[in-house]
Formats: sequence, structure tokens, C-alpha cells
Amino acid sequence: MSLISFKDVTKQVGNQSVFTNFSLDIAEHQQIGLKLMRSETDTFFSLLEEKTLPSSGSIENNTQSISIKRYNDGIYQKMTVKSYLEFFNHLTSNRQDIKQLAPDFSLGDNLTMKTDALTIDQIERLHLFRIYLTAPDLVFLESPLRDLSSDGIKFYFKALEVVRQKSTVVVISSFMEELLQLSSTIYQSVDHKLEKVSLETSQDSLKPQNIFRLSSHLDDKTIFFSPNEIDFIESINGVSNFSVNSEYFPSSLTMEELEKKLVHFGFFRCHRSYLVNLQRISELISYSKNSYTLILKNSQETLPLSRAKLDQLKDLLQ
Amino acid sequence: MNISLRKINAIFILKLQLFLGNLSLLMIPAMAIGYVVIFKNFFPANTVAFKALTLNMGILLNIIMGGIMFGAYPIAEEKEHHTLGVLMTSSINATEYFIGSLLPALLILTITNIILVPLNGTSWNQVSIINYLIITVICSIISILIGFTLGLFSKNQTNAGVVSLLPAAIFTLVPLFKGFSNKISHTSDFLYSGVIPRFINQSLFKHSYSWSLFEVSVLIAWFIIFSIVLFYAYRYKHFD
Repeated sequence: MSLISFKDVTKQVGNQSVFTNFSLDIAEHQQIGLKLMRSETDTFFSLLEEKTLPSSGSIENNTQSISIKRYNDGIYQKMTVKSYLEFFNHLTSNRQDIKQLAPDFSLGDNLTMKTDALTIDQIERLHLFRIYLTAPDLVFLESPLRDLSSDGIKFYFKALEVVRQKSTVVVISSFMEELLQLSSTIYQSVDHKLEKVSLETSQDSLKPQNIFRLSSHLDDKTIFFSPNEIDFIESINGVSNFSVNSEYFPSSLTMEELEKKLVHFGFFRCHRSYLVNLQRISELISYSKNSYTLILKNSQETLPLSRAKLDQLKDLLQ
Repeated sequence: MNISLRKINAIFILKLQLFLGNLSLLMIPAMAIGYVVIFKNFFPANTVAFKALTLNMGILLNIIMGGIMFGAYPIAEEKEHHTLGVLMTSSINATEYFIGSLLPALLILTITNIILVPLNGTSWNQVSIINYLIITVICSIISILIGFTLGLFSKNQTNAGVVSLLPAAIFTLVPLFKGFSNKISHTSDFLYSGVIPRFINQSLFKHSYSWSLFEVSVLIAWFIIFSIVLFYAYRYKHFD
């Protein structure tokens, strides 16, 4: 039996459809990853926490308890790691030995530390530890690896395996790379519906076939994006920036280079400083005779459209 | 809705630790104590009227200002640091959260209220401790409920401080300045905080205090009003 089941869930927020006939069954011990945009993630959690109801369809919850770790969840400051964990230990009837479990979460030497002195890597593991103590049937983690260092990711995998012994974990992220590392079955939202992503590795598929990735260097890491993940590219002070789910990632390529590379992936130079993913455009608004603005799907972003590019865009969108 | 004593106890311990580590919050009971100590030692007018004024000021400052701040600040802080979501998705419900947060605040405020009487040089023979505890505990609870409601509508601690000022000033100053005019005195009679100076003044000046139906009604009415206000505020805002 499924732990939780979304049956043909449709959810409209304002005039926009966020989910259309969204169906998903999560069974025990499945390692599911969901690739959702930010607005879809927010709506998904609102539905899960029953803060909002589906416009149509139903959600059947067969769990005793669900734990959710959102990307921006914080921890209480000015207390020790041990007293923070003791609080969650007190919530359940089956208290556990925190000192004994701490090494499993690579926090063995941090129990007496103040929580405000922890690194981001340690905080993420602390979240996993407190989730483990409450032993929920189902756990949802939002973008857990996004800010972790390479060492932090290794420790996180180890801690996650401990949590998975007791709970079924679903990872939600807008980055496929993150989901590939944490899940064995991945669904992605395509036109507001969930579609299973094929992860089969046959002999043929082991060879790269027309893989195209754009990269962004941030501190000590390089992030790769598929063109379809990028909403638009904006040139700010001479630097091209990928906009992915309202976050900006700098690129070493110029707008001209990017335009050449991306024109075959449905990108269009709508303005001297902007390249837009045509699949993301939802509206074209004309505020005056010579002023045009593009509105993007599931986003608050608006992009300018040059007067001279209007006809070209209309041809492409027809 | 199920209420678990184990979870309330866990929140109580957590909140007590957080309150005792929060100097901004502890400053208010400390100010009430400091105010009473300073007025007793630096203005040695040993009249009953002066003692009553000092004690009233100390208690009102602690219960009204302290109660509202102890209710509003922690919720605003949790919203600011995104810790409430963690609690709400850890099998804790809103009722358990509110009760677990109310109790440590009530404990700190009540201990301060008890300390204030001897610090003011007033004997427990003059003030009935049972009546004193009943009145101060009920008034503290009402103040904390007001604080909770304001906390739900505050985005952060600064915002909570700003929105708490007006109700704190009204409920503290009106009973304190009731001697200035009949209008203020009449208004004070209808405020829950107005019961405190009436009780202190009667205890110190007349050496006895008897409950009136009007005072009981005022306390019950304010308690019910702010319980309902908090209930609807939570239904409307949740912890968003």
C-alpha cells in the first residue's frame, strides 16, 4: 500500500495552473526524487501540509507521521547541539541515545557546540538527525545538497542512509544533478504533470548522446544546467547570468556566444541584455505603442522585448 | 485535536532554555525588579502611597510589557529564523505549541511578581498571596495571549516590538494614571490590568481585599476575548 497517494490532483493558484492531473504514489522504501520548479514546490508542500486544498483530485495519506525539511528551515540558536536534539528526542515515546547515534551523522564531536557555531554542512546533518529521532514514516527533503561542500555531501549521504533505515525519503529539487545523487526513481514536472524520467543505463545509453550542458562556476564548485532548466539569461555589468528558478548563476560566456549555442534549444535574443527560453514565455504585454514586455511562466520575472524583435518573436511563437 | 503532555513538556523545556538565553526578553522582568529596587532605596519616602505606586508600576511593567513581549517576540523570532515550520512538521500542533510556550513565560513572570513584593518592602501579611497569585497569573496569561496574537501578525522581532508598544502602553499606563482623572479611572476599571492596582491599593491602604463580581467579570471577559481573538488570528494567519 502507498504511504501517500496523489490522485489526479489539479491545483490552480490565481489564474495559473500549477498542477494538472498530478498523480504520484509513494510506496515504502522507494527512493523517489521530484524535479519541481520553485512555485510547484511551494504548492506541493502547501498541499501536503493541508494549508491549501486541491482544486480537484485527492490526496490519500496513509502515514502516521510525515516530516518535512524545507530548503530555508532554520535551527534554534544559542543552545547546544545536544539540547537541540534532546528536544526532538522528548517528542517521541521511544527515546534514543543521542551520544551513541551522533557519529552516524558525523556529529560525534559537535554535541557540546552551540548551534550558531555549526557550519552549513553540519546544520543539514543536524536536520537529518532530528528527523531520525522522531522516526516519521515519510520524509520530504527540499534541495538538501544545494549549499553543501564536496566533503559535506559525502557525510550527508552517510547520514541519509541512516534515516532511510527507518523512513522513506523523497527528495524535491529543481536540479536534476541533485536528484540523480539522492534518488533511484525520478519524476519531473512537464506541463504541470509528473512524468517519470528514464534512468536506464543500457550499453548504448552509456555513451553520451548529444549531451549539452552550460556551466556556472561558484566558489569551489561548478554547476551544470540543461538549457531547459534556464528561464532566461541576463547580461549584468557585462557578465551573462543564467536565471534558474529566480536564482542567478554567472557564466563565463558572452551573450553572443550563448546566443549561438542556444538558438537551437529554443532561446531567443529578445533584447540586447536578454536571451529568453521561448518555452517559458506565457504572455506578451504591450504597455504602450513601442513598449513590450514578456511575462514568464511560474515566475514573477518580466523581460523587455525590443520593438525590432517583435515580429521575429511572433514568427517563432506561431 | 489531540494534545500530548509529553510534547507540551518538551516545548516547555525548549522555550525555557531559549527565554533564559534571550537577554532582550529578560530585560523586562529585570527592569521591573530594578525599578522597584531603585525607587525603594533612592527615594526613601516610606509612605504607603509611595510603596503602592512603586509596586503597581513594577507589577504592571512585568505583567503587561513582559507578558506581551514574551508572547510576541518568540513567535516573531521563530518566523524570522524559519524554525516554526520545523516544529509544525515534527508532529507538534498549534495548541501544544501555544501551551508549551505560555507556561515558561508564565513561570518567569510569576517568579518576578513574587520577588517584587518583598523587594518593595511590603509584607505578605499585607497582601493575600493567594489573591495576588490568582490576579497576577490571570493577567499574565491575558498579556501573553495578546502577545501571541501580535506575534502571528509580525514578520520579525523588530516588527513585533513596534506593534506591541501601543497595547503595552495602554494596558500599563491607563491603570497607573487612573488617579489623574475620572475618565482614565473609569476606563481603567474596564481593563484587565486595572484589577492589579485596585487589588494592591486596597490591600495596602485598607489591609483587606474582597473580590467583586465586576472584577471577576472583567478578568473572565478579557480572557475569553483574547482567547477567541488568538483562535481566529491563528486560523487566519497560521504561522505564515
